[in-house]
Amino acid sequence: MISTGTIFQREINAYFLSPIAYVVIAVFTVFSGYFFSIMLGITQESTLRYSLAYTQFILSILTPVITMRLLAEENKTGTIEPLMTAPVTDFEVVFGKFLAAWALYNIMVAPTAFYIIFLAWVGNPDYGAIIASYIGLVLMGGLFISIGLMVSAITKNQIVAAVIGIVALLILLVIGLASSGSEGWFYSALRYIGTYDHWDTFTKGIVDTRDVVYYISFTALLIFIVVRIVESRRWR
Amino acid sequence: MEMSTLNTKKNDWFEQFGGYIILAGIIAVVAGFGISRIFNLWGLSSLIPVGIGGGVIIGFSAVMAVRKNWFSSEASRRKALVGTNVAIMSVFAACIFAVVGFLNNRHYERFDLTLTGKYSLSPKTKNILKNLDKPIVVTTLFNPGEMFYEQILDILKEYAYHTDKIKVESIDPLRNRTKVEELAKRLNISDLQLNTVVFECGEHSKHVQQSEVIEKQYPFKFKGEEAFTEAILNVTQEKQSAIYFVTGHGERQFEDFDRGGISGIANALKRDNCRVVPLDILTAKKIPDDCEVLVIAGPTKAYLTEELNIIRNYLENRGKLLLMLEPALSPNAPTGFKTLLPEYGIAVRDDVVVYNKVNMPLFGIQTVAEIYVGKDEYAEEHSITNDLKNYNTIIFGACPVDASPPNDQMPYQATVLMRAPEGSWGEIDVANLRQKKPEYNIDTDVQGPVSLAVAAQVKELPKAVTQSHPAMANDPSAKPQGARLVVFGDVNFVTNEYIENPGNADLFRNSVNWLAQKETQLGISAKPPDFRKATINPIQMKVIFWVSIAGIPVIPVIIGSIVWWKRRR
Repeated sequence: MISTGTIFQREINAYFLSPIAYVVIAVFTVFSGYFFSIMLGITQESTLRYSLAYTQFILSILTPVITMRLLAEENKTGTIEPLMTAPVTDFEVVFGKFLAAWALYNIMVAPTAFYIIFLAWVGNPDYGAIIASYIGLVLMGGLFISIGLMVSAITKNQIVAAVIGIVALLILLVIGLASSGSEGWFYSALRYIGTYDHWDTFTKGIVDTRDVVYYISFTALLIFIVVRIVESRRWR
Repeated sequence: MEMSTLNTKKNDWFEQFGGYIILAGIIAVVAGFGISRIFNLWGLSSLIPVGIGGGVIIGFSAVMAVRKNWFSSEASRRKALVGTNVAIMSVFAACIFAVVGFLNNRHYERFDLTLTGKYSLSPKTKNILKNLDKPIVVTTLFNPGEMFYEQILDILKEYAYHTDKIKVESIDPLRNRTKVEELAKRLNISDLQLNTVVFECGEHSKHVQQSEVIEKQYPFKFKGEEAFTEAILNVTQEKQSAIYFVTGHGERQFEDFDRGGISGIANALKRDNCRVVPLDILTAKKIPDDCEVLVIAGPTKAYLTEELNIIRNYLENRGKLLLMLEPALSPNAPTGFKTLLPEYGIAVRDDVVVYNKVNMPLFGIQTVAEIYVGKDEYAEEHSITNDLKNYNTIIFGACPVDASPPNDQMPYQATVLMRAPEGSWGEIDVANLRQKKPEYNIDTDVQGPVSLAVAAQVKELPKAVTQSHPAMANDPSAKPQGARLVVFGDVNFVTNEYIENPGNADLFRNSVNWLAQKETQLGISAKPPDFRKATINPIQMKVIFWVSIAGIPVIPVIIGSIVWWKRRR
């Protein structure tokens, strides 16, 4: 796990020594701030719930930008080869990169805590619901990052990685919405795979083990697949 | 030579379009599968694309493998094997994910972190849901833009979470007319109203309108749980419970919508799927056979002996009586129940309970004071009050109602439901209460703690049943089905004026449900919704808007610029 820490540090440095982290955080805070203030004005309710519904959409677009570089760049420049021959396991490489991107994601959403101050200023927010929302936000970030990481692992082009990542996340967002109201195992499966229902429960203030297990198991599945993809390069 | 090779490559359509054709095959398979799920059957429209698409994928992949010599060399063979290995491992992991998801959907827990338990249903609703034995289909016919649409879906999801007997389906009536028509056909009605929630159970159905879910007065409170639980009771219970309210002795009227009337509590009973009926005992000459609970709400005039005998007969035949006395109005007017109730282990006095700790300057009559009963020490264990101990029940001007000491000869056992707090007493000088401030007189007044309400029912019958209840002798079914009584020393607590106090309505409803032996409907009713209003003036809105879209984003921009500047140097 020391190697994971090293990889994590390297990636975090790469993020914060280049403009990408600051640009992504600034763009995210502009859009989330816009939706927060607009929804607060419309609903006149001291809650984050309605603005967070839009936050999921913004995150679907910005998270792949965080992850697009992670493995695609290594594949393109060929630095993946020395990394594979270094005394680190594939899992340590993948997990270190995952943790770094996840950390950036959490730093990116952290400024939204300012909104709680605003809510307390104009009303009496339900802090329990806000805590649940942030638990969901962190877990959802893990899933989004792992999807972006997987896309980055299968391509050499960062732009392609970002575009495919955005499309994949939007599909995940939409299939849950599109299948709501329909019965049968197929639609139930779609609803389960889609992120919308799981995220919505957290924003209401409910922590449901179904949603927690969904996010953790889906993230674990994707990290497992990424490790296998990286590992396969070793044998080619 | 080079030119001809290039031409050959250019003309090789397989090389040019092979990848796209395989992609088209994949799209055809996915489309076919999608069509089959949309129409919920495997017909030609779904089988053809799946078949053709599958054939194309397999065929073209095979040709491509041969042409590109995927398996000809050791290196390419290894590459193909590694790819296959990754694919198989990924599918295997996806299967584990699917199994985890399957189990996860069946065994789960929910934790409501909201401060007021906003999404937690009341214990009463949970109790009703736990005891459901028939499946219920709930269909929402709401335009998604409607007020409280989200809250309606949220709360219905909670219902479905607590029982697998409830299935919730949402239809957008403007977009899905076919489904609306199907529902109308199934319900055998010509037209369905928009913005309705339909509850179906077997042949019974109940339509809850949007107006029933929202309180009509501003600020439009959401009261979905009350309306939906009522609908569930309506469609699952075969018959309504008949609750008879006795009239003719100055009792409070359930058609009276004034502050002193009890129309609010009658509406609450109707929501619990009860039929509320007035009863003049002298005219009827008997208590109707379908009477599940007989309610006497604050009589101010005496009952005739004939009427008391009719009530006694009713009780002897396993009747259920809820009696609310009213001493403050006419303290010296005997109602006649003082002689009847001791037969059931209940003792009623004429004095008025005084609790002077609360100042009521506007009320004027200092003897009629608030009495809070929401504490453990003020009530004994009883299913009527067990869930209400965290709620204040406010009683105004009650008379003491006590349980007689246990007696082997008495088949009824009375339990005290509520007591006045420490410092209260029963004032015997009722006549002068309005003129002077009462003082506790140790010689004449009733010493506290004073009990305010009592519930009585048949206990384990002693071997020799008393002469006063010969009908119960050798009757093995007497114990669980005998008479039940609940007597309160006050009626004001259920009037429209005081019914909004947290524990008042539930105390009454629990008493009725306990008497009617509807044990599953005991508990606390739906609480008022927790709407956290934000009060924003225009300046605050401007500050929030600009700080959110410009103030906060500028921080990463500044930090990023500093980093960029330093690295540049």
